[in-house]
Amino acid sequence: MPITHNMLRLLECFKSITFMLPDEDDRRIDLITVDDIANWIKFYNGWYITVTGMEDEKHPYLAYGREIEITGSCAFLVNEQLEKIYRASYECGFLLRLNLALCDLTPENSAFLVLLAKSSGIALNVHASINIVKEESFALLETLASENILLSFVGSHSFWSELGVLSSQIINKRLYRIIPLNLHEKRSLDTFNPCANRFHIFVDEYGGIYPCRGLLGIAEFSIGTIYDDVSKIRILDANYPLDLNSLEMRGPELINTNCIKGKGLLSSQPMPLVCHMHRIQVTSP
Amino acid sequence: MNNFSLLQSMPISYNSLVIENTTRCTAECSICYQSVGPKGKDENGLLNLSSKTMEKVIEDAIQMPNLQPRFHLGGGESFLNPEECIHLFQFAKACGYREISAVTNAFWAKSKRKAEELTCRLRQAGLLRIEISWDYWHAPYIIPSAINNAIKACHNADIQVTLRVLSSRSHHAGEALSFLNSDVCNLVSVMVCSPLMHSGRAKNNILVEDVYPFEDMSVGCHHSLNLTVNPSGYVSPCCSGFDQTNTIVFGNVHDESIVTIANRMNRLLLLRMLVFQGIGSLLPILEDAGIDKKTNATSICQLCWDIFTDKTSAFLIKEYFDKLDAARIQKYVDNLSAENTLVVSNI
Repeated sequence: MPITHNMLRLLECFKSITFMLPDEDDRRIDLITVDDIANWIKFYNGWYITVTGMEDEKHPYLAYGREIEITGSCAFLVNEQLEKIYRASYECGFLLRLNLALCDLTPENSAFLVLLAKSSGIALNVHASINIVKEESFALLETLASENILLSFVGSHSFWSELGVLSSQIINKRLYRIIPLNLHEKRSLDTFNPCANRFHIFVDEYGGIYPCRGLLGIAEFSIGTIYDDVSKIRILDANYPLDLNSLEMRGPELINTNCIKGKGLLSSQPMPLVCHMHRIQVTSP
Repeated sequence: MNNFSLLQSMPISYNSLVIENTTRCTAECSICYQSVGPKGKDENGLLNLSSKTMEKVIEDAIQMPNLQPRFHLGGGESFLNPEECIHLFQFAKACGYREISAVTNAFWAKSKRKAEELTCRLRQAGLLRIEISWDYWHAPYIIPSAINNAIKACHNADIQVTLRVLSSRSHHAGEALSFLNSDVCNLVSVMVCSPLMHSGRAKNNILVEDVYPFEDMSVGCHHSLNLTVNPSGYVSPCCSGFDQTNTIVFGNVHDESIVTIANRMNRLLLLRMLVFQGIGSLLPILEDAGIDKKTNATSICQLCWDIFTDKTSAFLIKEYFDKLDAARIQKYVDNLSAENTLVVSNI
């Protein structure tokens, strides 16, 4: 199937993947496994580079900025599991982004992260938490900062400031981000909200695939599962119930633009306000 | 793809279109990489791009397949003429840009009411994200309450806020953030904290020992380029320093389309070496001439700026690549002549 300009713009939105895992190691058998994740990364990448033409060196700029993010604390993944996901990401040209609560950061897992990062960098979102030994946590963060690890600090800047992060000579030597996870206050939304900035492959804990955070878990809007043939993924499916091209360019047409409160999971991608409202709209009877 | 493959065949691609509309700024920060202030740029005074010129660039650039559909307005201080900004954002939205953003020092937010009025209009016009510059060196020119007001107003108007904070060894991010209201800071989408660049005005005002160095000078920058039009109309591959130089020019939007200029840039071996092999790959050309730019280099962007603001080093590099191009053309002509001779001899 020849790819049009609009199709390419849409596909560009889906070059990265987020696996939305739960925060705890839940050994239920209906949840996706690390093997499922690692394998699907390769399957999806194979499909993606074929359909976009990257395999034939067309549109090579699509290789920039591709990420695999694992939400939920990676502390519950043992080293071998982390390494499996890392290897799959690295082989397919993705940057691996992990999430970790500060209270879960230990000398052992930070040493392992440093080891992984030696071949190619990884990104780590460290989430503010209580019940920490400040001096030890701070020292571990400085160790990570001095290695090939891109750090983002999730939580209020005062927390990180009190910990010493913002005045650290080692941490300030690098580029880093602070992401305050703020509660949405009540306000009105504008109607121009291109989903291009929010579209992403989201895979839930059961293997369902969705085009954005807002539609996660709503079966009607699933674009497939990781257990299906990857070529059946519905990104370019003309019969998909939403017009993804129109959403990409302008965003959802919201009937009610007065928002509600919400907050994010352990992720660098909390639910954007417009996605909240769109989700309410599409799930309302 | 390895670096050589990239050099050979990868198109130079851009994350966004950046237009710097003016060299004028309300502040005159001692670390400004652009060296701008109320009277314009230190070197060449006041320059502005007209609305008509900017519209043409915005309209033409969206057609480029290797440019992400993102438009970013910079300055000097980009919001000196808010009506013009509103018009530009509306225009960019109509042209099909998916992300529309701007950078500002928030001088316009001294009054809470005015900040709220303006941000509402900016959002309606299509502005989705705003970058607010704030650090120790902005503090003498911008009152912290203006930053607080701007963040709050943008949040209420559903404009995402990126707070950009620069650090040196003696003035870290925490110091600058301590001037701001903590609760208001939690309304920003993200704070991006980075070491300040030792270029522009910073070169004369900040000791090199106070600047955090970036050790790896061998990396390329091809993955983080932004197609930039500076206030003179000259086009450059980034807004991190090369846009502030004028020794190597690729074209001016007053004379030709940005698409034509970008296509030309894509074919230039000098630029391709710079972005794919890195600025460090050009150092041997200077070292052969006895010029050391490496010793005091603190980052790849600062090194690039340093080399291309220095007429001597820029000339040496340009001359080197002009000779390479001439040799390549000569080889092509020789091959063509040999083929013609062969054809003639076979008749």
